[in-house]
Amino acid sequence: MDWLQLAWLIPVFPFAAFILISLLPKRTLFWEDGGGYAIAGAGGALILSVFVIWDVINGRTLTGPEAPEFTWVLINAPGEALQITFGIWIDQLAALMLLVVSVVGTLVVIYSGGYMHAEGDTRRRYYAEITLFISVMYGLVISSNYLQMFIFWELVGLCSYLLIGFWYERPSAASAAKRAFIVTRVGDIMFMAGIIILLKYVGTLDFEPLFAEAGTRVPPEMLALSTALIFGGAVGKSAQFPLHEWLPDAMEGPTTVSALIHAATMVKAGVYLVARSYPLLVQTPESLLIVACIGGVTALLAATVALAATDIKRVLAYSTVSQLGYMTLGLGAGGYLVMEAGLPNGYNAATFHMMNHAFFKALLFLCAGSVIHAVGTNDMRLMGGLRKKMKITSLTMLIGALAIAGIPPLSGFWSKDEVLSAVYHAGDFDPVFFLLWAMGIGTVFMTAFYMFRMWFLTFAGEPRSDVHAHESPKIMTVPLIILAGLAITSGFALFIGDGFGGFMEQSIEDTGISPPHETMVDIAVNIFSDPLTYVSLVLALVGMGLAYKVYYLPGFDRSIFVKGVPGKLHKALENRWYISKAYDDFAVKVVYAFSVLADMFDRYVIDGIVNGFAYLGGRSGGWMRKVQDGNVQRYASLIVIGICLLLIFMLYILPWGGW
Amino acid sequence: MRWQPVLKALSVVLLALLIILSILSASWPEEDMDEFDNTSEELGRTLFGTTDATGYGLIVFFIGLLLLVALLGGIFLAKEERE
Amino acid sequence: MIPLVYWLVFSSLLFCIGAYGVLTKRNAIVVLMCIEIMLNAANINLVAFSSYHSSLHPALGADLSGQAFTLFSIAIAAAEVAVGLAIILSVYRRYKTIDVDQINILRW
Repeated sequence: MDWLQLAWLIPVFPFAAFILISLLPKRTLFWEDGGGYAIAGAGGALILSVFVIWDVINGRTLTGPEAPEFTWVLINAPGEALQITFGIWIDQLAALMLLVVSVVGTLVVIYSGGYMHAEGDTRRRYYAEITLFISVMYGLVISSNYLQMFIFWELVGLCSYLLIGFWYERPSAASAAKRAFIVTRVGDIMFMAGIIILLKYVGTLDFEPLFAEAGTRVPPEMLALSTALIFGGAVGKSAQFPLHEWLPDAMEGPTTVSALIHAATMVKAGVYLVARSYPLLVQTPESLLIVACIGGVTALLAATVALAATDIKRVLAYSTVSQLGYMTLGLGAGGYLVMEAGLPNGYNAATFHMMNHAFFKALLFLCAGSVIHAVGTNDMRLMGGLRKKMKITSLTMLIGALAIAGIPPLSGFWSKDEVLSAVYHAGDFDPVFFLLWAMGIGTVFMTAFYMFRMWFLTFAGEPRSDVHAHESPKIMTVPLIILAGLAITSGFALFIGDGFGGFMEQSIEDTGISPPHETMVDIAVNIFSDPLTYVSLVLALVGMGLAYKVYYLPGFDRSIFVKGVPGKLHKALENRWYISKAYDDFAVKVVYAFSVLADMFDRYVIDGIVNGFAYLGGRSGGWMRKVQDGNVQRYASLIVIGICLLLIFMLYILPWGGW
Repeated sequence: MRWQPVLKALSVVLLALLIILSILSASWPEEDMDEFDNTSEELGRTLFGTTDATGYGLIVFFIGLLLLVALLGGIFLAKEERE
Repeated sequence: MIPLVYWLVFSSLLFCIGAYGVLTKRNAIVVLMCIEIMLNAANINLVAFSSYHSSLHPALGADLSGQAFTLFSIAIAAAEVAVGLAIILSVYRRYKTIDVDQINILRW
């Protein structure tokens, strides 16, 4: 069976589930108000994805003409022909995303069965929205042209809005949902501008012809501009600086939503976009530099803010932003490596980290959800000592924290170090990458620190308040265990078969890479003989140790953090470097002033014109009436004047006009 | 209110100028007035004609009738109302 | 003898003088007299054109119909004055004045 040709069915399963959950009468929604259908839909997509991925691993891809197509718009004017088709595109990168979305998606839906148990009637809406999200995410992943991707991009943003604002009666949730949508909209507009530029010059948005012809038909400045704009879309969707503020606020939604959308799938869409656009990006070093710089800055910035967060989900949210910055940085640096040295290292590393991060971040979020479900609060200051009551959760969360800190042999170690070494080697081509590498290293330290801070505050020590804690039901802990297993083992994908690197680099073959052929032993030796590896490992251990000392061992006076200079810094971190405040001020002052101006214009000018017409109409009767005032001699004089005018008209104006 | 006669005078002057202008700008033939030995006889001949059928005699009669009617009407209108 | 243009200019001037009087004078009888002036100006026009008939229409020769028409016009003018004076008399009985500015029941 040719599974690749059936790949278009993958989004259909969850979409069918969505339709069924939305439209069927309530009595037929067995098990958790629609959860059954959701799991069936997600599970069906998972099974199909596994087959598709198996085909891809065996070396088959579905790109270009063999893919099933559906022509949507066909304008056949000479010189202005436009053809927009919907199709599918499965290559190694798409297969990777399919793996992530399907595994995490299905596990999250199963977990939701337990987490959302107490929600009652609103569960139906939840499952409908979740299955819709999963189906459009699949659609985004298998898109074959930018326009289709953009359509699904927007749909994903819509589902994110719906799900963040799931508890819409809460004003903070409603405003967080609005904020997410509006901020990502800014990115979307840039994305649209970028693809319009490409459309204008190349005439098509399908990946295969676009990538082949973009180099020749688009002038270099325009290509740089369009790729930078497309990256702008990724900045919005993946919450990079300066459009990162929506992600922490998006934690207002249910934790499963945060796990699925804001950790594992939707935010990866931006990274996916950048990776997919590699054939264009490697022709424009300026855009690559922008990509890398924004990634590095974001990674550092978010890590610093995470140091002071007290809400368990906020810590994870900032961590997500920071890790996405890592991936972006890796892609940017990787682009340089591809361009200058033909090495796919950065690309491989960043996509590898994408996969690993999806697994352990989803794990961390679901563990946090388990804690919140049991304890009833998000505030870490009220937790503590939960390790005794919630053994499975605390163990799996520990595994997740170790993974993200980069401790071998868990997955995070392998991918983080690859990213950092790629950035370091890109420094050979542009020294700014050394600075970015330093930012990355600093982030490693901070990541380890805040992650273990979180773990110690939540699970270790003595309870700080009398919150009632119990272990979560099996339906929630089993996905945790599965994800923990993945977090441990997904790192070893580096060594299976041709290796992860060998797998991924096929997807960017046409960008002119010439990878050195390494055996697995070579890979392992390279990693462990590189001094950079040990630098980051040492920093991670130091971070862990410091967190241990500050937050676990008694006797450390934590109040030094809030007094004096550290106190000001702490306050700044608590307020997220006042970025959010700056945006709000801007919106309130500038935009409000502008809207007042618009209102005045509307009221005086436009209404003035309309009312002016009415005034004229009403008053003109009064003015006209004065002509007939009963004075007969006045009538006669008007007749005389009329005759004069008529004569003037006939004598002068008509001859002038040509009569 | 005193400027109103001035405006009316100006408009009348304008009318005069325009009419005279149009008269002067027309091209008139260069001939002279008609010469008659006995205008009254000619006029009588035109009015009443050499026979009954030509001439405007009948019309003169009707004009006279109109004048009679008008004067009678005027007398009627001008009469005082009796108590 | 006298070019046609002079007659026409003369009659138009007379007409305009009459028009001025109609527009300006307040006494209704004076307005009536000015109307007469205007009528007479038109009559002069008619006579002038009829005197130059053989010049204006060489093929038709002399024709005194214009002067006949002028006689009719004078008769009509007389009838009109008779009726006009009768009306002024009635109006005087109603308004007790013959000032045209006062004979006005429209407001404003």
